[in-house]
Amino acid sequence: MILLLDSDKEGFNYCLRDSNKTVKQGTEQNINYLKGKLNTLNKTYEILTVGYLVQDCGRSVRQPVSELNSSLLENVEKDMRFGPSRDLPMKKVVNLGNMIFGNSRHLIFCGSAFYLNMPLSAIAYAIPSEDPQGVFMRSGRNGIIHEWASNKLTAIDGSKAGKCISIFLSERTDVVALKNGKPVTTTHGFSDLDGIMSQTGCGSIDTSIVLQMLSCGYSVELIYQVLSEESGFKSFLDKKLRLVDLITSKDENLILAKDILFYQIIKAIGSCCAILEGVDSIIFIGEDKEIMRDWAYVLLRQLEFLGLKMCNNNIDYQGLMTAADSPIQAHYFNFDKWSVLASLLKKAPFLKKHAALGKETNMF
Amino acid sequence: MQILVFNGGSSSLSYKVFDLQNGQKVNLLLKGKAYRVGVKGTEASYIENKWNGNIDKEIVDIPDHRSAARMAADFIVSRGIRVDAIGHRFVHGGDHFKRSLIIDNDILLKIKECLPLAPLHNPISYSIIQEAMSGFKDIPHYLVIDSAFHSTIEPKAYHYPLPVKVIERFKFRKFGFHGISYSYICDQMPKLINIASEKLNMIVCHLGTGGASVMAVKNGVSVDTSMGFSPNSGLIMSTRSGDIDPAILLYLAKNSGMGPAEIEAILNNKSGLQGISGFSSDITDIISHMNDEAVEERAKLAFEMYIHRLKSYIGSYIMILQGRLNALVFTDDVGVGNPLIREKVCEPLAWAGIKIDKVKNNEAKNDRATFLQSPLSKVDIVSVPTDEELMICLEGGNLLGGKQ
Repeated sequence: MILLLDSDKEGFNYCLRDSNKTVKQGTEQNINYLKGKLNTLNKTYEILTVGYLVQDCGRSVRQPVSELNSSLLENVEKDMRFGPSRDLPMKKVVNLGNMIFGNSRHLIFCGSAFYLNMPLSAIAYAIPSEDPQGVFMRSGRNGIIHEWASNKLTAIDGSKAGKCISIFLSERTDVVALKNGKPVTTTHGFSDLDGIMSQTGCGSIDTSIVLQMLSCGYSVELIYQVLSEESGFKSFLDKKLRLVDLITSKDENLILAKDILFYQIIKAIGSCCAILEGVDSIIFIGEDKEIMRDWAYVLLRQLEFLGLKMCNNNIDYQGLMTAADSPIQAHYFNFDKWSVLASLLKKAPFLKKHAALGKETNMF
Repeated sequence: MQILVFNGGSSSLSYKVFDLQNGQKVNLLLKGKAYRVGVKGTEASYIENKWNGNIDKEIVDIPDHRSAARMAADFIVSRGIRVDAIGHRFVHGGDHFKRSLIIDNDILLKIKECLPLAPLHNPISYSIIQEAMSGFKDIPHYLVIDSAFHSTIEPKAYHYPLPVKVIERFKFRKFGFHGISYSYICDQMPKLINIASEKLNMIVCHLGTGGASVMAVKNGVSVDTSMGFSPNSGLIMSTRSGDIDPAILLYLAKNSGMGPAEIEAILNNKSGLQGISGFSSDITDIISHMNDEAVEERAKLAFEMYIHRLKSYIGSYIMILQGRLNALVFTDDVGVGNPLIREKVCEPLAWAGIKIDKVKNNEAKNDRATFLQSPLSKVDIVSVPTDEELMICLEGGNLLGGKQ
């Protein structure tokens, strides 16, 4: 059995899978509750592999899935220090997993590995640096998801995968331009603060805002708290909202929030078009909910001028949103994080090697 | 009425003396510009005056804008040109100044309060105002505000999604800048492409030697622009970073021991093209060094990043205008003077109906409006020299009309 773990603003998430199906999954609000849950799972099931989804591994992890050993973990931790938001809760989860499942194989799923070869002109910031490939660069996010979507598109119609814009609709939406399956630009920045506004994050803002707040005596910690925990959707209603709740809400206070999010996504798609020099296909990735697909349709309507021929029927079984003869195609892919992670394991060559040797290894 | 206009850019100072008759008819009596003011690079600073058919160019050290203003004033006085009023461009009026006004002692105090809002510009304007007021004591001086033009931007484009208490305390919002230049372009373009102002959709790239920004115009008014609360955001500029992740500032504040003033100095004075290239803040200088082995790699990266950011903004504005674009306009010194930048920006935009004619582009003169599109282009591409000083002069006519 495989245990998959990650953390987000909702808490610590786990998923226990056997073959192709989920046996158990849930979210715990704090690390102690998670510890209790993992101990119970350890007593009940034979867990051979534990996988951790770490969104940003800096430049240490170069594959979407890697064996986690002590030196790799050390490098990931070193990179984590560069940003206050960089998956610090996952450090606790990894330590916990190691303690409880000492005899299992430990893997790291890395969201940023996908972006390591992006052009420097797309990831560097225009600030002085001895080394232009230094610390402060766009790291990208949700690489595993965008790569999965791109591969899925290629499998459906490879001819439309040349210039593709992939939009992950979520509490932390990001947009990536893909050229022949490789990312060439992304909205996600050095940290989770940059890019499109999120559930509680401000997104791209004028940096003078930070300087004004610093000058007026706000501490770094307080500013980070304001920008990462009290901004975004939350700033409009002082309440943490899921994307689907924001979209469906009739609350007048959220009208502007919806407008801003919509506007920022449309602008990001335009930026990607300019960088790709056009577009062959657009992918929306989101929850399997009708309201999300409807919202993606509304976004897509804004892009009709590009030459899209909209489909009058429902989305087909392959997620196609446009007419079959549309020169630019659009898809909506229902997304389940755990299935995507589990599917990566089947493709990882080193796991096949281990299986052939018939052994499990304690990496710590 | 003869009006002297001072227009301080971050690395230049333009000045013109106009004879304004009946508040409308304008004759240009003299113009001049100080280039590379306070710029570190491989080329020297100089000041150029054009008067009575003569061009007077002097290569001279120009350490700051106050010195440049003094040189300009000396030249004007030495030629016996009368000055009845002086107009000043002021970049960021924040909540204090939302329209043009005559400067008095109270206004001077408010100007001082505005200095931190645009640390690279407002202090420059203030120093020019001080110099001008000490040299021309008994005539009216007035301010024209750069940020006022973008008041038509909708909340979805100007609102930062920050807590209400923070927004209210600091009055954070996107203001946008280069408004005087954009105002001139919005005035000229309907005549140039023969379209009613209220139907005009366009993207304007104001690319200066110091600052640079992009604006989207829908139905004749600004709907979005790349600069924000301050003139530091948006495009990569000569020494300004443009957009960067706010977490980088927090990281620097926490780990480098630097205070906000030092970080601000890095973002305003040592970043942008200067920060990437490590040797120059001048895009022309950088382009000329792209085959220089010693700095080739950095020069190419600086150029590519400049183009990448500019393309991104243009793409995003094409999208918000839903492709209904009449014109793509390039203005200010780099915008009208650099064909390579125009070519590299336009080439990847064929998907939006934008096709540049390379010959027209290369042959375009920087002192007149020139159409650059190929016959296949659905969008006019136009290089238009801006005239902020003329707009400031006309504004002075409106403001001082009753006083003269």
